[in-house]
Amino acid sequence: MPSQIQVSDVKALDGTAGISIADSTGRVTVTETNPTITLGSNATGFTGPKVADVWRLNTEFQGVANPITNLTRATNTNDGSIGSAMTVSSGVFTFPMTGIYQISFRSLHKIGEANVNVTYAGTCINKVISGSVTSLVQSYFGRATTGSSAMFYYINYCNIIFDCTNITTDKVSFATNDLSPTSVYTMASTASNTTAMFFTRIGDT
Amino acid sequence: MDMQGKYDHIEDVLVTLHFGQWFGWSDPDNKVYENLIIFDDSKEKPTKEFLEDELEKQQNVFDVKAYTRSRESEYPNLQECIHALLDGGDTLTELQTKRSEIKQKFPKPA
Repeated sequence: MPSQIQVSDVKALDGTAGISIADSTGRVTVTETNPTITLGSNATGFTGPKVADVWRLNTEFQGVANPITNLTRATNTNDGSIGSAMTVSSGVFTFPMTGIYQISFRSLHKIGEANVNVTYAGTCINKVISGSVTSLVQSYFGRATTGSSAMFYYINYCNIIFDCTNITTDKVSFATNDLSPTSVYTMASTASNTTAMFFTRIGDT
Repeated sequence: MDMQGKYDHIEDVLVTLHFGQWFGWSDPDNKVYENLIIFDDSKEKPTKEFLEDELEKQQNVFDVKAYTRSRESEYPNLQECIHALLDGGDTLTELQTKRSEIKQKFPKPA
């Protein structure tokens, strides 16, 4: 037989902290200043990031690459991740679930040539929607002509908030796509985030 | 390649042969010749001997040029040189003396 308890407040034994239960608004308020609330894994709604993943360029190269391939997921000791992994095919990343993602692309470059014209290198994050590629953000470094052949190192950094509404059609890729001279290196490592892509799901689409 | 630019792996040689991502490794954590993969069909796979010889050659070139890097770090900068050339006289003489002392300090290998 169904039963029902009607109550507006639930208090601790000492009567201080407690939970107030609202009327038809359905709101529940925890009156403790800094409450600890634990949600089970099946909880829906906002439950924190459900995906966090890092991928790294594993082989150094000179020149342009669009999209960048030769990628390895960061799975070494203490490399953190949350949820299902991103998957990649020929440099195009597929999301494990729909959602709003913060995507960052950090790339380390070097150049050691003297007496060339102004040096620059551009990188970008592309959206790949049903196979159609569009750049969403670009980052550049540059330097004036120098007589020194000593190796110079530069970092490019791109960042976007991406809404993946369909994991079959909404994808992303990364590129080193605008260089002068074309001998600029993009550096690689599987042990550190030398050139790396960061994916964090920050909410529902 | 170390941070100074000295080659320390056959990948440093491979990167200079062609632009773009024409090669990779079947096991990126174990970059030995046997794991080298060529993605671009228009490029030939270099032999192990060629890569090792070229690596050694480039390391030797880097070592031989140590004196130029040492000199470069101590030479007067471009602005000082321009001032000395415009001023002439003792300023220019002092600059040339300084350059000569640096050259003697870091001699070119025979």
